[in-house]
Amino acid sequence: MNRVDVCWSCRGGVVAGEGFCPTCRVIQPPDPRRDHFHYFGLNPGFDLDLGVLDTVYRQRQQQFHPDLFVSRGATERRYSMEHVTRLNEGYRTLKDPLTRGEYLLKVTGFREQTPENATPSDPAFLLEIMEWRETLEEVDLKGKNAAMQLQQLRDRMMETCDAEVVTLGKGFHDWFVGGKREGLAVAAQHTDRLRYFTRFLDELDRKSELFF
Amino acid sequence: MAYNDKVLEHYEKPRNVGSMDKNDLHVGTGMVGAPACGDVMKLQIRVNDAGVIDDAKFKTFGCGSAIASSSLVTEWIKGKTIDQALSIKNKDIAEELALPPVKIHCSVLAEDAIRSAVDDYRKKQKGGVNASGS
Repeated sequence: MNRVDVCWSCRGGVVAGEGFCPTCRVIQPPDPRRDHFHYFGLNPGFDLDLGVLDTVYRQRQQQFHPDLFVSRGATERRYSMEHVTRLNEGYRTLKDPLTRGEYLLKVTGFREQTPENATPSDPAFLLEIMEWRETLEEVDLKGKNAAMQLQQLRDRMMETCDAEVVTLGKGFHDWFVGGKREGLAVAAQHTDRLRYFTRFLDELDRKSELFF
Repeated sequence: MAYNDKVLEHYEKPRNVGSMDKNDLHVGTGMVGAPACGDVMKLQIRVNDAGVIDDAKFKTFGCGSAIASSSLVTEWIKGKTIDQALSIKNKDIAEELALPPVKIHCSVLAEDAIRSAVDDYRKKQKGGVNASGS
């Protein structure tokens, strides 16, 4: 639901979180109660049209760009900065499937943050990630095939990540479209798996830097 | 953030890195992970007939504190009975390594790894009896 607020400049009515006052056209502060989806005018969910996200991001970057407000008062300059900060944070969060998944688990109230420790509810998975790590560790970085081996390992991992993204997307879909709360548990589990795989990719990329 | 000297010491010269045969009935394998940071830790113990841990190995993929915690734990549990090993608490590990609050979870991970390895060992010992009966 949109909240009605009062323009700080002309005291006319504005919809909270809309960028500009419809009466005096002066910039308004971002509404901290809007989540990133609402801020970008997107329906909350895992399946996003990334093209739309990009377009809205660019449009608003232009609208709120601090350069446009250099000759304005301190309040307007501050609101411009607040919008740009908000835009960047939202864009970063929504663009990447892992952070988007984490964020959705938070806004749906499923969990506030990722548990730091978890008993191995899924030892087979831990074994799997251990095997990935060991395979990476065993790549002889001084060998003549090292760059190729790392690339092959990366390709395989990317495929694995893609499959995780599909599965966690289904979980979120079950909740947002099907109304099934258990979809969120599936989504959480696969978001965690994707995080393990992403950390693996970080490590792989650190090793690959030696070749560039 | 700078690591404490003891953490660095274990990180640069980790003790007891490696693997044991996980199918050996005397070997218990513990696997734990930290979903928030993506660290994984494997801890293996070999228990002799007297119920004493006569060898321990670990493999940890993660930050310096996680590696140091598991390295320290392998040193501590060698020569101990299973129950003595289980009495090691994350607080002891965190204190010994002077871990800062943001790294406490690494010591919790190491404590969980001991428990997980012991569970696996005990399950195997029981399973060995069951296997002959069924």
